[in-house]
Amino acid sequence: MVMVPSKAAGASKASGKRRKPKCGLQLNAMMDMMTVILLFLIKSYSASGALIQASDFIDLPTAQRDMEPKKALALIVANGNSDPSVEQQFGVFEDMPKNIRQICDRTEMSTDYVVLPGLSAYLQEQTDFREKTGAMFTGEVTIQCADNVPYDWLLKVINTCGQQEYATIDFVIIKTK
Amino acid sequence: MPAEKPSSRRKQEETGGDLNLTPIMNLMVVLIPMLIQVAAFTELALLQYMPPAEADDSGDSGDQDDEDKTPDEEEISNLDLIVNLVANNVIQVSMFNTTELGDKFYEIPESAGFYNMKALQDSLYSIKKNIVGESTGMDSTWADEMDSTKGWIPFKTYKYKDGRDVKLTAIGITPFQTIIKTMDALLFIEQSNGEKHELFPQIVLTKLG
Repeated sequence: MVMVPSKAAGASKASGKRRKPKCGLQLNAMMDMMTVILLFLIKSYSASGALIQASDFIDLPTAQRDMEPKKALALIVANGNSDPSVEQQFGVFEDMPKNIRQICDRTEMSTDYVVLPGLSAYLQEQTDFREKTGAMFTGEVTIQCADNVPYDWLLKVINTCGQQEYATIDFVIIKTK
Repeated sequence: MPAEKPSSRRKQEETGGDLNLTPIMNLMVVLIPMLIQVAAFTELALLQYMPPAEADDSGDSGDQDDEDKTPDEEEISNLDLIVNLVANNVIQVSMFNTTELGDKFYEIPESAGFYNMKALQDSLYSIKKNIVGESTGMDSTWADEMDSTKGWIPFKTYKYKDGRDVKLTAIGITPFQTIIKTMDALLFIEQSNGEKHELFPQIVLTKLG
């Protein structure tokens, strides 16, 4: 901070009074920077992004689709992770922000059943709950399926959803250009 | 009101100078970390999979014409397009339930150790253009189960009843990323001039064999 003595300083010195030099933080540059950052963040903020949070323990596949995420019954299908620092999970899970509940374990996924009993029971439970609460049944389910999930597992999940009349399945993907 | 002294009036004038930016700075300091926390740096989207409902006997979607058709016409009314992801990164494309290698059943070899999605897309575009042909009109289907798209959904019709359909099969160990890539390739093709053409958006995932 450069302090430039004012012309009047000499006069006040002469009159016996000493004026205090003005010194303060120059916030203008910082304000400019903050404004730019704020505008950038507001632009990148999407309300729909808050509807779906990508799960921490799976890697989502990439695709070129641009359908907006929407709120629906949400599931996670995991098959471990190549990153050892990430929690290794296998099977079908309820997509919750905290304390996720396992619906089907690895053993159940690897059986020869076409329909997964655990998932079927869970979906039935959800349908019953909606009926009791008077919420409309939309037949939609959003699945966060890890990119390494084998096709066999995927078909079992789809078949189970279909059997429980969840006819519309939305796969969560990371959008690429 | 008593008159102000000249000295005190001068002091008041001096204090009304700079803007007080401290409250704005406080607001910024709170807002920026909050927005960084909720910002979506990886953009999520959905790929919708909606298998067609099993055909019912009510015949409410223009099936009346079928009664007048000869057996030969009925035979060619289905394209029966199947895309099959097999071992060694080979893609098989089959039409009209053909199982012998030829122009209606062919294989697309691997490209650099992966399934050749570009060749698959070009091949499907060729099928759509030359075999399925131009759209013969429009039809619509009622969607009452999805609150977001409630109502009649229009779609193009072709000379083949299943001119928008494709069955996708794969070996059991095929990773989901490959399935998604293939589904992406089956839906649309984007030409070099930026034009998008619909390929076979009605995908059915099935089991091999």
